[in-house]
Order: sequence, then structure tokens, then C-alpha cells
Amino acid sequence: MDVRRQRDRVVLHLEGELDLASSPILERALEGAEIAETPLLVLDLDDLRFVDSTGLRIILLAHERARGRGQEFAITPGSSQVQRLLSITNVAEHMRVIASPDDLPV
Amino acid sequence: MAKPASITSATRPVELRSTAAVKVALAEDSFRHEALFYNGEAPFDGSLPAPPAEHEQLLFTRLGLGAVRNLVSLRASEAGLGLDVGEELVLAINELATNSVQYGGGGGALRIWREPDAFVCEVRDRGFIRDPLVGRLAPPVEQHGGRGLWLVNQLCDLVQIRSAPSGTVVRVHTQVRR
Repeated sequence: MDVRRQRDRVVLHLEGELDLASSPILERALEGAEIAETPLLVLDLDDLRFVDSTGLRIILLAHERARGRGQEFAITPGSSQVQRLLSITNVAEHMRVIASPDDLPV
Repeated sequence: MAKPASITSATRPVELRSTAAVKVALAEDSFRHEALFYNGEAPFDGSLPAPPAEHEQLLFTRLGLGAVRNLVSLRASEAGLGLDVGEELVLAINELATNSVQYGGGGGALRIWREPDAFVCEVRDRGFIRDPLVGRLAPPVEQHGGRGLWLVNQLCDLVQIRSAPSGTVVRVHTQVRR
């Protein structure tokens, strides 16, 4: 996972598998001070091969915290596995999805 | 008056156990249900037929969840399940194994075998399920946790749960089309 800071946004680029074992890493990263300092927070899910309900919980937490402090929040579409989980759980339609991490949220 | 139990929200075959523990009251256009929690009752009490002798077993803890996913993926592919079905099964079994790590004593046992028209996986652990409606109600989007068994029910053809104070087994059947 890497954290990329740009003028208007922080992009958290996630790779590999987001499960019970790896979710705490993302949870800690979301507590970093630099995460909250930009108008927009993007979780880039495109290189995430696998996410489960534990990972989804952290994504929902990130969304809620960002909105709570008045920060825009967006995700990228993710792999087919990621998209399927977000769709089954109805989460995708409650989040802004941008085609690439550098796009403007619609 | 007792009415036959009917759960209309389920889109997949559902196996109802101990329906006396679940009172379903049908109103004109809507239905409501009341889960009755009796002291010490085990809504999923009972046992399942033993797996065939030639089943495969993998013991896991938190660090073995990746191994659980890899094994299910491999065996599902060998059984001829399509990529999408395999991917959904990997997610489902991962959710069960994650529950075992979190609520079932820190880990459990995955067993896999073939039946004539099904690919079967089961996860055993030391947990005990008391909620007769576990995994049946769609969690609201804003709810963070508690999605595991609900997801399994969405993803799988048949989900059988047996649970007693001594432990829990969840068996998942996936139809194999030949």
C-alpha cells in the first residue's frame, strides 16, 4: 500500500488482499494525519485482488470518517471480485466511484 | 394461530432448522418476524452426515486465511466450477473461516470433498451460534460489521448450519453441472 499526496487529494493505493490479517494495516494508515488534510480522499482499489467483509468494513469506516470531517471520498472500481462484493452488499451505489485515481469526482 | 414458516426474502434455497424457534407472522402486505431467544436453546442443534472418508482437511488460524482461499480456489477450479462461481465460493469460505478466527476460538478446520453433483466445503470451529436468524437479514449499508454469514447465504447454493455449545459446522454445497 502506498500513500500519494497531491494538491487536492490523498490517494491510498491498495494492493494484494484485504482480509482480516491485512485490514489493520489499512486501518492504521487511515489514522495518519496527512489523510485528513486534503479536500478529497481516494481509495484506489484497482490493484486489490481480493476483499472480504472485514476489508469492506474498513472501506466503509474510511468513507464515514472522511464525510464526518467534510472531506470528499471516492474509490476506483477495483477488480471483478472487488466489484462483486461492493455490488452484492449495495455499497457501490452509496459511494463515488471514479474511473482512475486522478479523475475528478462527479 | 401457527402459520407455516415462510421467508420470502430469500433468493436461494434455504434450509430451515428448528422452525419453532422462529415465529413468522404474516401481515397483509408486509411481513415481520420475531426471533425468540430461549435460555440455552440451540437453534441449529443437530448433526450432518459425516463427510466421505476421502475428504481433504486444512487447519487454519488467522495467518492461514490466504491458504484457505488458495485451496478452495484450486479445488473449485479442478472440480470444473466456473471462474465466477469459484470466486464467490472463495469469498464465502473466507467469510466462514474469518468467523472461526474471530468468534470460533481463533481458528478452525476446512474440509473439502466431491459428491456426485456437488462440490462441498465445510468449516468447523469451537463457536456457538444462538441467533436463529443469523445471516438471514440484510445488514444496512451503514452497518460496518456482521456481514459474514449473510454474504455466505447470498453467494452459495445451499448453506447448512449446525451449532451446539461444543462447536459449529457450516457446510456449503455448490452444484456441479456436468
